[in-house]
Amino acid sequence: MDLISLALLIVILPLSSYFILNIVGNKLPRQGDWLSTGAIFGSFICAVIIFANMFSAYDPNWLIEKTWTWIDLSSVNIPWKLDLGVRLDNLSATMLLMVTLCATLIHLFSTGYMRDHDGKPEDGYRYTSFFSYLSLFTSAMLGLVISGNLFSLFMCWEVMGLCSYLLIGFYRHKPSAANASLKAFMTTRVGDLGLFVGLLAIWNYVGSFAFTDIYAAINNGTLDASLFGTSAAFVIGLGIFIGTVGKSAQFPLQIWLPDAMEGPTPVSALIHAATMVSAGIYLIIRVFPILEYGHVLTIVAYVGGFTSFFAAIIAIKQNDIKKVLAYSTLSQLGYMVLVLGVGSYTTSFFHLITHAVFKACLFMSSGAVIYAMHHEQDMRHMGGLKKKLPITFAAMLITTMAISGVPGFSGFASKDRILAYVYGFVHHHPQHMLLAFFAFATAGLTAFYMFRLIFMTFWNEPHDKHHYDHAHEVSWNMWLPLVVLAGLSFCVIYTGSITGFGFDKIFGAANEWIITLNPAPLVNGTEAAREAMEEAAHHAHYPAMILSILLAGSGILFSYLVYGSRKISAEKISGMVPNFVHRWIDNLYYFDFFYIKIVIQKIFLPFSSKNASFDNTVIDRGLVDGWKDIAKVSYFAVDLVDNEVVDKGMVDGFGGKLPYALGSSLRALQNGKIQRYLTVAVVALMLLFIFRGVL
Amino acid sequence: MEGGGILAGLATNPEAYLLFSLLLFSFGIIATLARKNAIGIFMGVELMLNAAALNFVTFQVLRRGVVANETWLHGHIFSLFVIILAAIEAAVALAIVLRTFGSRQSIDPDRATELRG
Amino acid sequence: MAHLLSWMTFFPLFGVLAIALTPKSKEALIKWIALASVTVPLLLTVQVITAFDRLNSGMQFEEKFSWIESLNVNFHMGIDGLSVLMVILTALISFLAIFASWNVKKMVKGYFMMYLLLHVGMMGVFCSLDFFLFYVFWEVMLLPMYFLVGIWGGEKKEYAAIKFFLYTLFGSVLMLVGIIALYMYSRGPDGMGVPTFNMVALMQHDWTQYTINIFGQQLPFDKTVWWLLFVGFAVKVPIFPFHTWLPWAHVQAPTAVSVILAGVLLKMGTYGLLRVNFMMLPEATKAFSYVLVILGIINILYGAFCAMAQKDLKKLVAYSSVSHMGYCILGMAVLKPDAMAGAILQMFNHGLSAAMMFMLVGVLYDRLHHRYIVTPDGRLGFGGIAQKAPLITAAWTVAIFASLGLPGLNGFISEALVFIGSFQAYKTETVIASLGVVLGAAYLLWMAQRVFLGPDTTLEKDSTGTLVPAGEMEEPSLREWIVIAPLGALCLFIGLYPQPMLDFIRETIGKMLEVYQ
Repeated sequence: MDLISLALLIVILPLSSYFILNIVGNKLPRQGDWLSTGAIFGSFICAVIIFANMFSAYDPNWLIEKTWTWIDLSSVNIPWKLDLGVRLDNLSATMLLMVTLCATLIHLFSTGYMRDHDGKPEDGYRYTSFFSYLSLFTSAMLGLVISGNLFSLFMCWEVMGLCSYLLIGFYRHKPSAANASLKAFMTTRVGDLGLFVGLLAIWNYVGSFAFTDIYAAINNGTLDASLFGTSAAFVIGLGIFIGTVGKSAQFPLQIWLPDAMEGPTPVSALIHAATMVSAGIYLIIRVFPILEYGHVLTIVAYVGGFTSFFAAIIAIKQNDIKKVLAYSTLSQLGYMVLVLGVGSYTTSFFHLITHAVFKACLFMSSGAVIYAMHHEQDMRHMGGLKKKLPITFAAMLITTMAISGVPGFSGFASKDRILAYVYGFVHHHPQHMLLAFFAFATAGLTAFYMFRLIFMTFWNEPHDKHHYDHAHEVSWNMWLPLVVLAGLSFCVIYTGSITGFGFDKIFGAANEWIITLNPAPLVNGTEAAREAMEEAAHHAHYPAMILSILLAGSGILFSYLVYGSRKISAEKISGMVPNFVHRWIDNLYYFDFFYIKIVIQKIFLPFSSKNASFDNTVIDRGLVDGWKDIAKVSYFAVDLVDNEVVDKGMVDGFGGKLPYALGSSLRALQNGKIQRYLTVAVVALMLLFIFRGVL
Repeated sequence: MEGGGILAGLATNPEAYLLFSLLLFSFGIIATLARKNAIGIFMGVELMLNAAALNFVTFQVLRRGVVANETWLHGHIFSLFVIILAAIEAAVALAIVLRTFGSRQSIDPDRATELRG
Repeated sequence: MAHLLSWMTFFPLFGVLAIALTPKSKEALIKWIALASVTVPLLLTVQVITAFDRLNSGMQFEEKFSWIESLNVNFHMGIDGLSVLMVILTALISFLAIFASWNVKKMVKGYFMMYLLLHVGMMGVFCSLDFFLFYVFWEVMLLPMYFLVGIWGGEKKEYAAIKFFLYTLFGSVLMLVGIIALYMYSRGPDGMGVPTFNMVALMQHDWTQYTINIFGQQLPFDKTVWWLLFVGFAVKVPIFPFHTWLPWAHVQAPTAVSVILAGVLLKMGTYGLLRVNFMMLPEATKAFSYVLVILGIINILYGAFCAMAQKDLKKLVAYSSVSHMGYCILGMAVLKPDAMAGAILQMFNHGLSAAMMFMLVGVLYDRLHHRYIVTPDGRLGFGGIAQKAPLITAAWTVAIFASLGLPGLNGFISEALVFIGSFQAYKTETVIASLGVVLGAAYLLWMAQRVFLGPDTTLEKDSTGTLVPAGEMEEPSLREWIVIAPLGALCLFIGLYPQPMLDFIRETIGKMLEVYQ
C-alpha cells in the first residue's frame, strides 16, 4: 500500500467509525467505545508507518503529493477545476504521528473517564455519541493535517468547529455548557470569516488552493497585486492569521477557550489542548511564506506575545484546576504564535509538538484527579493527593516540569529556542523590546502557576476529608495514557537524532531531528533575512537559556514558598496588588464584558430587533399593506372631487334630482331576481325586433 | 312531394305549424317569466326549446320547395340536437332542483340569495 | 419513454380525476391515490437523470405541438441544465411532502386535489419552453396555493393567503405585460414577421435594437422589459422589498405547504430570472447586474438580521430562506461560471435544507402545538428538547448545520462557489456579504441553544390554548422519517460529492455566460 492510500486510510478509519457508531453504536457491546478507539489506533499504526518512512529518508525536502479533481465546472467554453489533494511532508508526517498518538491515548482514557465508578456509562447512549464525536473530530483533524490545499483544510477546520461545538455542549442539560458551545462556535466562526476571505483572495489571484501553487505564486510575484488598498499578500496573510486567532484562541478572540472547559475533560485534553487549537498554529506554519511575504509577521508576534503574557497572569488567579490549564494553553499557544512572528516557524512547530504531548498529559492527569475526587474541580478542596494518586502525581509532575522549562524535559528545549529567537530578534530590532518582556515574563509566570497547581493539588494536608478518603488511583485505561505521555515529555525524544545522543541532546541544548527535518519555505529572496535571524538566535542562545533557567527556577521556588511550604502568605501577596487590578484580571480584562454585554446585547441584538420591527411595520404594514391606505386616501380624494365639484357644482347645477331618480330607478332593476332580468331581456328583444321592423 | 301524412300537410300549410310554434314559444316565455316554481320555469324553457325545434323542421321542409335538389338536412339535425340538449338539460336541471329542495325545502329561485352581495 | 416531460407534468391530473371520483369519506384511499400520482413523476425522474446528456448545453426531451395556431402558441416543453435540477427537486419535494400531509384532517379530498394541481403547475413552469404555456402554468400554480394556505392554514390564514395571492398577482401582471411586449416585438424590426412565444427563439433575438415609447419617453426596449419581468420574478424569490408575503405565508401554511413553498416555489423566481432575464435580455442584465448584487447582499444580511430577532420558530426559518435566497441572487448577478453554478446549486440545496427545516418545525408543532422560541410572556417555549427527544434534535442538527454552511453538508458547497465567483468581480461587496455566513451561524445556533439545549423546560399548548409543561415527547414516526431521512442523506451526499449535480448544469452555464464574455 502506498503512503497516499495510507494517509487516506488514516482519515477514513475514524470517519467510518463515526458513521457506524451513529447508526448501530448503542447496540454494540460496551456501546462501541472499542470501535472508535480501535479505529484511531489503526490510524496511529498507519501514521507510524508514514513517519518511519519519512524518518528513514531523513531529508528536509521529503514530499509526496497527489491531487484529485473534486469539483469540475469545465464547460466547452470555460475551464474550471477545484482540486483536492494529499500532501505528505515532514511537517504533516510528524503532526500525524502526534495527533494520532494523543487521540488514541485520549480515547483510551475516555473509556474510563466517561463511565462512573461502577463502570457504567454516565448517561445511556450519550456514551456512544461521545465516542462518535471524538471519531469525527479526529478524522477532521487528520484530514486537515494531510490536506495539500487550503480548501480541504478549511473544510476540515470547520468540521472541527462543529465537533468542538458538540463536545463542549456535551452536557447539554447545563445552560453553561450550552452557552460555552455557542460562544466557541461563534467566536471561531468570526475568525473563520477572515480565513475564508483569505481563501477567496487566494483563488482570485492564484487560481488554485494547493500549497505548491501558492508558494509558486509568491515567488513569481502574483500576490503583489493591490487589494483593498494594500497588497494581496497582506490581505491573505492577515485573513488566514485571523482564522488562527479564532481557532487557537489568541487575543482578541481568546474568550471561548476557558469556557470550553465546560466539556468533558478528555475533550479538553484532545481538542482544547493537544490538537484542535494547534491546528491554527499548523495552518500559519503552512502558510508562513505568505505571512512573511505580506509583512504580517509583526502583527503576529504582538498578538502572540500579548496573549502569552496576559493569559499567564489570569492563570495565576484561577482556582479551578481545568481553568489553570486552559489559560496555560492560551499562554503556550501565544508562545508559538510569538516565535512564528519573529520568524522561526520551525521553533513554533517544535513547541507545538512538545506542548501537545505534555498538555494532553496534564489535562488527562487533571481529569484523573477530578475523577478520583468525584468531579470536584476546585483546587482549594484538594490537597495531599500525592499519596492517594501516585501514578497520576508522577505523570503530572513530569509534565509540569516540562511545561515550566526544567532542563532535561521537552518543554525546556522548545521554550529555550523560543526565548533565544525572541531575544535575537529584539537584539536586532530594539523597538520591539516589549516582545522580549512578554516572552521572559511568561516563562517565569508559567513555572509559578503550574507549580502552584501541583502544590495545591498534591501537597500538604487534604482540605476536603470526605472526598479525600474516597479518592483512589484510577484504573489502568486511565493511567496508562498518562504514563506514555509523561514518558514522551523528556527532551531526548526530540533532540536526539539517528546519529547519536550527546550530553547537550539529553538536556536539550541541541535540537536535532525535529528542527532538521522541518521543510524550508520555498520562497525566494528571504534567505538573507533568515540567515541573519539564525545568526542572531545563535548568539542569543546562551544568555536566553541562562535567563530562562533562572526565571523558571525562581518561579518554582516562589511557588514552593507560597503554596508548598507556605512560608509566605498568599493573601498578603495578593493584598499588595491594588483592587482594580484584581477586578480587571477577575473579569478577564473585560473582554467578555465588552463582547457579550456591549457588542452583542447592546448593539447587535437591539439592531436585529429594530431591523425586524422595521420589516414588520415599515416594509410590511407600511409599504405593502400601505397600498390599502393609499387606496383609502385616493377614495377620499375622489370622493371630495365627486361631492364638491361634480355633485354640488355640476349635478345640482343641472337640476339635481334627475341623476338620483334615474339612478334609483335603474337600481331597482338590479334586484337579483332572475325573472325580472329575463323580463327586461325579453322586452328589450321585442323592442329590438319592433324597431328593426320599423327601420 | 308524395311524402304524404304530416309532412305533406306541412308543405301545403306551413303557417299552421309556425303559428303553433309561436304559441308554444309564448307559453314558454310566460311560464318562464311568471312562475314562482323552479320546475314551472324549467318547463317553460323546455317549451321554448321545442318551439325552436319545430321551427327548424318547418323551415327545412319549406326550403325544399325553394331550392332544387335540396339534399341538406341541417334543420332536422339541429332539431335533433335541440332534443338531445333538452334531455340533458332536463336531467341536470332536475338534479339541481332536487338538491336545492333537499337543502332548503323550497324551489323558489328568488329565495336562493346566498351569493347576493 | 416518449413525451417524458408531459407525463411528468400531467400525470397528477389523473390523480385529480381519480380523487374527484372517490367518495370523500374514503380518506385513506384518497391519500394513496395522491401518493401514487406523485410517485410516478418521481420514478420518471430516474429516466431524466439517466438519459440526460450532460455534455449537451441545449434543450433536451423536447416536445412541440401546435396549440393555438392563430396566436402562434405551441405546446412546447423541454429541459436544459438549468431546469433539470429543478424538475428533480420538484418531483422529490412533492413526493416527500405528501407524507407530511398525511395527517390532514379537514376536507381531505379537496386538499389532495389542490396539492396535485399545484404539482402540475410547478412542474409545468420548469418544463415549458413556450412563454404562453409558461404563464399558464405560473398562474395555475397560484390558485391551489391560495386555497392550500387559505383553507388549511393557521390562525391568520385568510390574511396570509390573500397577501400571497395579491402580491404574486401583482408581480405576474407586470410579467404578463413584459411577455406580451416580447411577443409583439418578436415580429422583428419591420414589424412584419410572425410573432412568437417560443422561448428558445426569443433567447436568440437581439432586443437591443428596439426602443419603446412610454409616456412620451423613448426608452430602451430591453431594459424596460427587464424591469417588468424582474418584478414578477422578484416577488416569487422573494427579493427585498418584495419579501413580506413570505413570513406570513410560511407561518400560516400547513407543514407540507411550507415545505413546498420553501422547497420549490421560491426557486421559480430565481429560475425565471435566469431563464428569462438572464438568457433573453443579456444586455440589460449586464447593465443591471450591480443592482442585483446589492439586492442579493441586502437579502442576505437583512434576512439574517430579521431572523435573529424572531420569536416564532417558523418565522425564523422563513427569514432564513430570505437570507439564503440572497446567495442565489448574488451568485447569479456576478455573471461568473463558478458563482452561477453556486447559485443554481444553492437553489437545489436550499430546497433540501429549508424543506427539512420546515418539516422539522412541523414535527415539533404536531407534538407541542405551538411554535414559540420565546413565549409572549418571556419564557422559553421549547427549551431543552434535546433531553426529551434526542433523535428529533439530531435531525435538527443536520438541518441547522446544512443551512449554516458547514463543510461536508450541501450548503457549504454552493455558498463557497458563490463567494469564490463573486470575489473575482466585486471584492468589497463579497466581504460584506460573507458576514452573512457568521450571522447565519449566529441566529441558527442561538435558536438551537434556546430550543434544544439547557434544562428541560419544554412547554406544550393544551386543548384550552394555555401553555403547560410538556410531558413525554414521541420521537419521529416512520412517516416523518420518510420525509426527513432522504433530505438529510442528500444534504450529506451533495456536501461530500457535489459533482453529479454540477455535471448537469455546467455546460448550460458555459453557454449561458457565453454572451456575457
